Amino acid sequence: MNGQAAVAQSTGMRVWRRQLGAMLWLELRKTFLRWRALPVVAVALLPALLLGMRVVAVRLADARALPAAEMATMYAALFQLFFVRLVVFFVCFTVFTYLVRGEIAERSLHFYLMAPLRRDVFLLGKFVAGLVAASSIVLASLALQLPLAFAVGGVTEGGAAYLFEGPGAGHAAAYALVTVLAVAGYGAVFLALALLVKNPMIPAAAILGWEWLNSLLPPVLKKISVIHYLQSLCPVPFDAGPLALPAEPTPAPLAIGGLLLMVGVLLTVAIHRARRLEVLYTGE
Amino acid sequence: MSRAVLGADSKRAEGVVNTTPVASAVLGADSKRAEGVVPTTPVASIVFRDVSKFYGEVLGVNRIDLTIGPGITALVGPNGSGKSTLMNLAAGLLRPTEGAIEVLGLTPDQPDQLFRRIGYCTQYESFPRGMTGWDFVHLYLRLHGMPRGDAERLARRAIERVGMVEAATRRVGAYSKGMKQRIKLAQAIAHDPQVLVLDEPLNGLDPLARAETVELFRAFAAEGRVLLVSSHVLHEVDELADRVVLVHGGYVVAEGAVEGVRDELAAERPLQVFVRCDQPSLLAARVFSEDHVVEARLDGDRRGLLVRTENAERFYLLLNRVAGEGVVDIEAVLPADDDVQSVYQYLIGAVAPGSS
Amino acid sequence: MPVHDRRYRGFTGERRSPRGLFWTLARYGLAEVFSKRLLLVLFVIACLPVVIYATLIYLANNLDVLALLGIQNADMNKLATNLSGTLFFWFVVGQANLAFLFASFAGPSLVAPDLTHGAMPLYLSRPLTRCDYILGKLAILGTLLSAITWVPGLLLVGLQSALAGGGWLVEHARIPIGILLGSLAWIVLLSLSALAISAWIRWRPLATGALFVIFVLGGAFGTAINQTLDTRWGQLLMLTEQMRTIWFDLFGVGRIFGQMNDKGDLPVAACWIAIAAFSALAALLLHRRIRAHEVVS
Repeated sequence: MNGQAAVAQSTGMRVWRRQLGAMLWLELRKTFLRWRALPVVAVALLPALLLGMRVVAVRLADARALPAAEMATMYAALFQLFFVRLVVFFVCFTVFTYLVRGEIAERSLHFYLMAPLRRDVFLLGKFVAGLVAASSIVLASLALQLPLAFAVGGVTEGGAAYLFEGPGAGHAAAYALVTVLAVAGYGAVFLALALLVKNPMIPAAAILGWEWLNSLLPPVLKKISVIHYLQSLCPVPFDAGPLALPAEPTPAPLAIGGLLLMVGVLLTVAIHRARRLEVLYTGE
Repeated sequence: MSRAVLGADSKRAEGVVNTTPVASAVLGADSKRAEGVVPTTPVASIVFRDVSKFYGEVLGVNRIDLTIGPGITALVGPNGSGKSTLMNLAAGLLRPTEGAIEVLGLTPDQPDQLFRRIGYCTQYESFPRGMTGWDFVHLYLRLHGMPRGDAERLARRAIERVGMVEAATRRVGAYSKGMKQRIKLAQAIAHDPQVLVLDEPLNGLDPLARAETVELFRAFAAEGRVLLVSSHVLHEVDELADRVVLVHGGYVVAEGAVEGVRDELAAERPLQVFVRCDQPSLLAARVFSEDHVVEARLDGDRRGLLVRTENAERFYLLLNRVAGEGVVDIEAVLPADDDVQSVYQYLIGAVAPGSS
Repeated sequence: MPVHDRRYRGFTGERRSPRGLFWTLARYGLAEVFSKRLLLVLFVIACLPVVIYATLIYLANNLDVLALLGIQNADMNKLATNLSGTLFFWFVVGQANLAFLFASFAGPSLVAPDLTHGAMPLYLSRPLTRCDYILGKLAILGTLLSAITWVPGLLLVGLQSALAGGGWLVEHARIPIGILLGSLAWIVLLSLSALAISAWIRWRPLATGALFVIFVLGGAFGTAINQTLDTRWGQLLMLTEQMRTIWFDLFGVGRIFGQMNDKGDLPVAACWIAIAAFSALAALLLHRRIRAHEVVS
């Protein structure tokens, strides 16, 4: 049987599933089997490296070991200020803007647009591929960070119990959820940006500044950000400093719903733009 | 009386073996045309309706009305004339600023259906990074939603057809220009498309690969498929295409069979025919008595005559009469300017690309 | 002209000295930079503080103008009596930030397009060495960043010196030296980093992002190291903080807003060494990438 005949006999959903699978395979291969992925992985592993250095310092250089509760607060600051705000942000910027804009830069976008893919399937395929790739990288980093922070060393005593038997397990799950939501949120922002503007770095720099200054903003403005909702979901609060303006965290269902709604809206905008996408490589 | 065509290619020579040799040397110019591959009333496969494309303020193509049917249609024009724009528009990689395009009744807004029936070999030399030739063809078929087995079988067949089996496992980045061209072609034909859009498909191919590829195109055309081919090499277009579309400055300046286009130009640009015979002066005297003959010039070695006529049909009838009288021994008749190159030069006015 | 007469005739006109060939690259590069609206706007924005500082210096030296306008400003009086390293330190810090922004957007498009479009063999098949090429590209950023850092800085010093009298310059001789040395160190670091990234990352937005990663994320990582490990050596990763330490030293002003952390700042010499090492690494990476051929495996 001819391949096209096989496709024709398949139902629409089955074909889309196969197409999404092919896109996912293609993107994951491009992300992980290339040297280009190394800097992204290296950036993602920075917090784990830092916590690893702390373990070494405690064990070999007599640095002060912290009680589990104190470590939880320190980790909360590291997670929110460094990991989510910067590491996840940069990983998402690299992975998601590259999904479309990178193809234009490498003049290979036509390869996708010449396939019998509906543009919305094309874009969703790209988004899912980016989500899986970026989440794998940052979740792997998170999976290293938590044992390094609590179980391996650097905590006076009871770190492992805190992580595996105490509240730590719940915290770990919450951190994982926040990480995936952060990837989805920032990913959708960057995918939409990559389709809307030629150089997404300019708005990305502005967004980075806005997210970074979030704690200094008044409560109303805080809500126009991704980080505010992510922080609302974080299990352990931390002291953001004397200049920070306090704000009530958004309830978890509302925070998750709001973030997913934002992702949906941004993807709709991106799909609308993708439908009008043309292959114009000049000026890139 | 011996009749042969000087320096003519095989297809022209074939035309001479006919009961009316002189006339058929010109009219039956192409074997593939004689085989009747081109339907007399072409089925509309690619239709451009009043299509314009502007890149900002720069004109791509303007008000194109064009219908392309089965067989091989060549897009010919100088650099920047709008050939690739037309092809990208047909394939839906560009959106028209105005007008509408249909390919087999589908619009470019239906890529999920359109690209199952169209194969496009683009001008772009770039490939997704890190891919081997096999990946390039196979993954493209997987993007069609084909089951793995079917995709592998079709990819293998397409790669075999373009003679890239041995190089298929190597990275495309390390391919030569010709190999890149062939793997792009494999990708374009892999899913058995009804319509093939080929942007300069013979570029970079060595003579052998070129001949094989031309044969492949002919085989596709013989199956009733639609091939839209752009080329700069005019003698290739002459050899390959059933129809030509001449594009210049974003406008279609002529379309149709080359002879037809040439005939339409006859009043403005009289047809030139070179006649090799033993008594060119006598022949010159005979042809000058005809009102459609504009000029007759003796060749340097006094063995030939170049005639410019506004009516080719009457001129060939005259030649038949002269030959029948047996006074002048006509050795060969060679149309001097009814090829794409001449049509191109007359219509576009530039030195034809690829001409030597 | 018959074919046999179409012999090759070598160029007989005047040739530019081979040592100055890199300027040809720089000239075209500068024209290219100014052809981009974003960069032009950034450059103009980077020049605006100069006007503001010039006005401040003029007013500080002409308090009677303010009095004429009916403005009695205590801060201006304070500034007038105390116009020293601090003002110029802030000028350099502000301009350095703008220079970073400018280099982030201008730098990535200087080398990457040449590599992407295979222009390197064309450049290097002319009497132009790899060093000339690098020098030419460096000259583009060097010229632009100089125009927004030490050149206006020295002009402001000249203005202040002219308004305050010759004695001021003698008394504050370390200010122009600080402006020149501090800015040059920053320019070399920024230019080499931007060019090295441009040579390794061909996609412009990603290259700009990478520069942010090095300077912003690197800084944050350094802070995290200091906080987590209770040390001050995290500052080795904080290029901006190192430069700030160097500027404090050059201008002879104490650290504003206190120390970086409880452990204090790194020694100035360590900062100079770190900046030099980072610049050398960037130069090495850049040099490795500039070659007339590319190997595809």
